[in-house]
Amino acid sequence: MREEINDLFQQKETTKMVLKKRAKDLAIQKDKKDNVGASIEVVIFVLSQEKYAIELNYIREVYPLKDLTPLPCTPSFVSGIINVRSQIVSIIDLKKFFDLSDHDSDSNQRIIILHSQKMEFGILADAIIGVKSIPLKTIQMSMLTLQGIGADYIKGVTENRTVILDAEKMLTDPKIVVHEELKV
Amino acid sequence: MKEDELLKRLRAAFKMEASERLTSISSSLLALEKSYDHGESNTETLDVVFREAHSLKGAARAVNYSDIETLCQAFEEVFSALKRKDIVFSSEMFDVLLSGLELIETLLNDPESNHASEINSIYKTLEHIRLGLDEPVKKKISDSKSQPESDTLFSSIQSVHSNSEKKSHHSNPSRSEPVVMDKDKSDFVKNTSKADMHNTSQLPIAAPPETNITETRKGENISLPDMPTDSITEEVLRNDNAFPVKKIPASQPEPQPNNCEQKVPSKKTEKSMIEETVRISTQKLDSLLLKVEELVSLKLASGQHLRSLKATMLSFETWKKRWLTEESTFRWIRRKTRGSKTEPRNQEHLKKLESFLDWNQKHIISLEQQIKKMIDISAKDQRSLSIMIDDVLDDMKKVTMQPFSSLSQIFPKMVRDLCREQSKTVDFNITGNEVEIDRRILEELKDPLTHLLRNSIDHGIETSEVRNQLKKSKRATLTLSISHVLGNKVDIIIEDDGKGIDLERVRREAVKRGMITEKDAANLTEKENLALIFRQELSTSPIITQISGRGLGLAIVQERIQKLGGMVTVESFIGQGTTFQIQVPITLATSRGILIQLHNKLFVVPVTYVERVMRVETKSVKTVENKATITLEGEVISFVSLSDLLEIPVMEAHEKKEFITVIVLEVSGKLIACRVDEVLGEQEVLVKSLGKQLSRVRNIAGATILGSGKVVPMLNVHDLIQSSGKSSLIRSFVTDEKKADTTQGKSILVAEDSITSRMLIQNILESAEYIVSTAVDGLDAYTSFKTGHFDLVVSDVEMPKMNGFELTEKIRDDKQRGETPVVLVTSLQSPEDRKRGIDAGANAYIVKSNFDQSNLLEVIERLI
Repeated sequence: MREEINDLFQQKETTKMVLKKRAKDLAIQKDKKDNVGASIEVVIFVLSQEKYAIELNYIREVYPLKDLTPLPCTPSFVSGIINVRSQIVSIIDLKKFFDLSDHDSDSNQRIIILHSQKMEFGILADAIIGVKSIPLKTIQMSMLTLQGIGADYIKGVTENRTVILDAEKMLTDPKIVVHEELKV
Repeated sequence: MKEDELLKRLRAAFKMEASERLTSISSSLLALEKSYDHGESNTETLDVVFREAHSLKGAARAVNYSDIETLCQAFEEVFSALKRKDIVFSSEMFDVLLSGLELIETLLNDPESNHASEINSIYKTLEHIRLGLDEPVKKKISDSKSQPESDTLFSSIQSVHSNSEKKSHHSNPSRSEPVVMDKDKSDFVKNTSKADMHNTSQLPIAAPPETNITETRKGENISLPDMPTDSITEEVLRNDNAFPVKKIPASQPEPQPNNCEQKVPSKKTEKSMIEETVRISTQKLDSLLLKVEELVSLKLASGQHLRSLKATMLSFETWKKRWLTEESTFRWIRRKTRGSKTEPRNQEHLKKLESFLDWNQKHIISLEQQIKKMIDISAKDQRSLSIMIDDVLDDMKKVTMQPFSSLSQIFPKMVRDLCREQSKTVDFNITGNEVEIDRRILEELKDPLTHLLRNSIDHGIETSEVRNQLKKSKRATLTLSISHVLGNKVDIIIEDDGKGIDLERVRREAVKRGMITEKDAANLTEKENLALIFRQELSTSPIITQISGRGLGLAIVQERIQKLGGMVTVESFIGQGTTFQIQVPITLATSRGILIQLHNKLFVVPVTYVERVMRVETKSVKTVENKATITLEGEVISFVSLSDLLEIPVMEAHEKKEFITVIVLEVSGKLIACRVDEVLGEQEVLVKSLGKQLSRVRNIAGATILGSGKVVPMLNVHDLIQSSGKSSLIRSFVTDEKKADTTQGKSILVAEDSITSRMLIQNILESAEYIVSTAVDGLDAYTSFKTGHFDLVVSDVEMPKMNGFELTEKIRDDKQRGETPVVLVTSLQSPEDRKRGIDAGANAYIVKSNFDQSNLLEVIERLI
């Protein structure tokens, strides 16, 4: 009788152990899954019929393109300035900055305003596709030789060939800043 | 006594500055503590506190507050040790530092109070921390145990006296010694009144033991690393606390039975805390001001809306006129249909139509009335909005105004010090201290004024001996005066009676540096000659600086002043002195601009730079030495097209008009006349920066937003006048007519798939009077080429069907006209592409990014 009880007790213990182990395993798996599943939030947009993405962190807002005032004496990649709620924002044409072929320059519909603490400007986009979360593991770092865009500005390419631009690099690139003292 | 007064004023200013810096230090310290808690190092904030402590030390020295100086010195040392990573943060350190700050604050509010022992204790503790001695407190305590008796005794005496210093002073007048100040015997102290001396020197010296007193005295304001820890011990014991320094300030009530006079200082502190003014951080104030300034654009916008409403109203008038003319027709139809025998069904329809027309008329009239009402209401709203916004902005501007004295008070000391260094005697006078100016402008004025005053003393004013020889009065005079002119502007004049500027020397140097030609130099007016000293090239010349002075940095002075929307001029007479006149606006907020139009684009020119706007006859433009000029009241000034200056490609050929509109710009005496398409008017504008990415754009100073919401660039007239010096631009207008002769009849084929680019090129070429045919791609171009006759082909590279390279090759292969010049215009910039273009046989390869009209035209002119 006593043995039986002991047995039963032992069985119960074993069951408990098994369950515990399973729980632990499952828990670990979940942890692992979380690591793998890290992703970035991006805004996907179209430029010269190709899809590009920029991390949401660097985007202040998306704004419709209207009343662009061109500015003389600026490099060609500066499209002009616009009025965003009483603030002047300069607009950059990445097609010109990256030397992309300009298929259809009249189709610019939207402006994506990029910002960091020290820099702010808008970039032209033909169209905005939307916000998407891209799992980090799907981003390929190695890439086909992309024409025009310096590899410097690219973070990676996704499976469906969306080019993820390095917004931080653009925001800190001294080449993008116009500072021209007059030389006589 | 004058100096006494000065010191008083300086101290008042110091108090303001110090409390600002203290706030900054303490908030930075708190931030540091936070990051320390999180285990991070925060070097940026550390830099801030270090700088602040350092500046505060310097300022304290200037006004002879040696106690504060000592404390700051200790602070600075600790921070620099932290920066070097010799030591690490500890929470004790923060406690000590914060209590040190509190002590400085107490000293500020009541400089006459004595806190020698506290200062010492903090100084010592900080010293310990800095030298990395662990747990300084414990050490002190153990030290104190070796001589407990005397320490306890001393401490109790000390605390009694620090809290009742006046009493002790009166009871022991003979024993009071100027200890606090004695290490720093600057002129100020010598000249301070006796009473002042008494106050600052009250000391707790009343009782034995002698040794301790001496130590305390020595340690008042200099660092003595080998000083015994007695005084600190005393602190420890007095406060009966493991870490006592937190409770140091004098206003801290101590439960001592015999310090009945302790109330006096604490009351004083309180009084200074509750003042009639409130300190607001400039950041907050500036952001508030910006927002209020934004309201101006709201005002402008509402004005614009009102105008659009009124325009809508006018269209009703048009309708009314039309109605009146058509009404008779309508009546006629009505009469006719009633009389005639038409089908009843048609009658029915016509009746419906009639009643609809009646209803329509009534409806439109009622709409008109509604709009009329709306206009009335909007007009009223707009009026009150305008008044309110202007009022708020005015008040806001006043809030940011400060008297000139808040800036000028730093100058007398500077002038005196400089004079002493150079053994010159100068009477320095300031007038107009009460004039109020926007704080931001005052801040910007500080450097230019400092610079000009220095210049006057360094280079303008002679030494006493030289002045004696020249039979000038021995004392030189230097005047800084400020006065209101023209409502919103002030004139600042810096005048000395020194030796003046040697114009001949300036001229020779300018010629030597190639800034002007010999010929120009001979024709220079005195005004232009003087203006040369503001040129940057000249200012870097050491020779000029040495001989005539006035060189270094004048360009910077000018730039600063111009940035404020002001101007600086100079007048000088050899041997008699120099006068600099600066005119700046009192407020920065709004300025007025003239709205102009160029090729359907709007620009704003700041009114300050516009000498006049006029219409001149086209034929009155005459070329002088190959430069276009016009005359203005007998003076010949150079004439350029503003769109050339701004490098805007000309989209259409200028019609040969009889009159052209000209805007005459002026910067420091230099005039140019610019051709514009139209002048639309003058209005209030709010200048905004172009954003962070466009840090500086040549010829463009900023932008403004019109009432309609449209963004308009504001021109940088200073840049424009400099740009106009470029010979190529001036030539382009003059050679217009010549070009017409040579280009006439030449035909050009343009191949370009983008319609915009095609039109642009076509326009450029047609304006140069070429005959232009166009093609939409390479193949199209080749077909045209085969069938027509062209003197030259301009082609894009990237084109469908046949690209530019292929087209070039095809043309080269043509037996009859294979020699026709081909110009490739492209955005492909790489050397390989260029090579490919040349390999294909193109004569020229123009990259679009530097594609401007003159470039293309020049190239074409060379080829045919």
